Amino acid sequence: MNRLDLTIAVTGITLEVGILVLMAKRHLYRQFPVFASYIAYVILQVVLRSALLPYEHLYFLAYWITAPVEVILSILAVHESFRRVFGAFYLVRWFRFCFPGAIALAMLYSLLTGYFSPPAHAHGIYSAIISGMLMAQYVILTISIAFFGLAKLLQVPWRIHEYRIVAGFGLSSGVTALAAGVRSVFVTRFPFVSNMLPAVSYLLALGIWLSADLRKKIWKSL
Amino acid sequence: MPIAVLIPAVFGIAFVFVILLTTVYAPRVHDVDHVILLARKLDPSDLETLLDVGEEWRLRQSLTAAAFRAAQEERILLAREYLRRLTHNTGLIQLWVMREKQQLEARKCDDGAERNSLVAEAAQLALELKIYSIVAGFKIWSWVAFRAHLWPGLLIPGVTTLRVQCGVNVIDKYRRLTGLAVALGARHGRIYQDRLLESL
Repeated sequence: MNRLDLTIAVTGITLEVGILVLMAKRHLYRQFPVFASYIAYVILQVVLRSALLPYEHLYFLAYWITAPVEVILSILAVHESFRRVFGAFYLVRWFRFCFPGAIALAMLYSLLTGYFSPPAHAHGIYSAIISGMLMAQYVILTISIAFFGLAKLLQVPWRIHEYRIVAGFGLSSGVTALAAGVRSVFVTRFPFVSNMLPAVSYLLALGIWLSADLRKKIWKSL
Repeated sequence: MPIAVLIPAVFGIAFVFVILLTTVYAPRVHDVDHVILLARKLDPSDLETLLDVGEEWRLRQSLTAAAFRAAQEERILLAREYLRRLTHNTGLIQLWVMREKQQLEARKCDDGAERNSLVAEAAQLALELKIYSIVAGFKIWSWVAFRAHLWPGLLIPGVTTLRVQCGVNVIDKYRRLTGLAVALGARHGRIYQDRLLESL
């Protein structure tokens, strides 16, 4: 781990702890339980992975177990904000099934594609996890685009916490998806874009979430 | 550009675009005068009469097939007009309650909690009515586009099916929304309450 990696990791965990502390102080975890769980999980994940860093085999085992859970929690956290703002959409019967159904289908398709047609010399399970994680970035990005598109179309009042949570996830997922694309095409030609940019965008997302938690006012859902 | 880079780039551009639309080009909130000036009169009782099941059944029974088709065409066009007015008024009230919300956050007032709950309920109702208007608008558009009033007898769609769409009873919700708007207007003075009652 070089100095830049270390700086990013320390900044990241500091911001995550800051978000969690502010959420606890302002009782925001009651309004956003899944998002609070996501942040808590990410902190635990970093601690666990850091502790296992000297043990290569254990580290990778922990990575492959914890990474999918993080992805699932991030999708649920975006969905939580979407549901808080557009809860009225769940009055539409077909929407209740189609929206989660479409997400589940997309994830299933990517998992099966990854498992049954892995790249040469790659294990099916690992390939499925990577494929699923990549698809999850697109799912989050799609929910974010739908969120802001609908907010514009329906002139939804500005709700700082939900908007910034979704914006943070959308930003991080967009950059991660782009970095994965750049890496798959150009391999190691643009190391900053494929390696560092996702981490930088995640730090930006943390900054956005922290800025939301600094606000006291919260839009109470009916 | 390879497709593996193009797809995330397109998603990214779409994401930035919608963020800009909701932040830089956010809808401009306005005050109660704007609602009074621009509202299009829509009496919920007229809407109720149009969407009355008994009335439609009576028309089906009493009129000849040709007369019913003509009547139903008019009723579909009338429903479209009412829906346009409802969407317009809902949008006006929504932008006004957003302004009220901003003002409530900016300064403290004695009846802040009560006004806040009125504003939150009005915003929620407006959102539900907007979703309703999208679904109902699509339904009416399809009736007009496919000339549904000319279909064989039993297949002619009933306008009354528009009364409840996606769990939203349009008459109840619109009545409640205008009631809340009038109640909020009353806090600006009696004159505003009367003028809102007149214009909505």
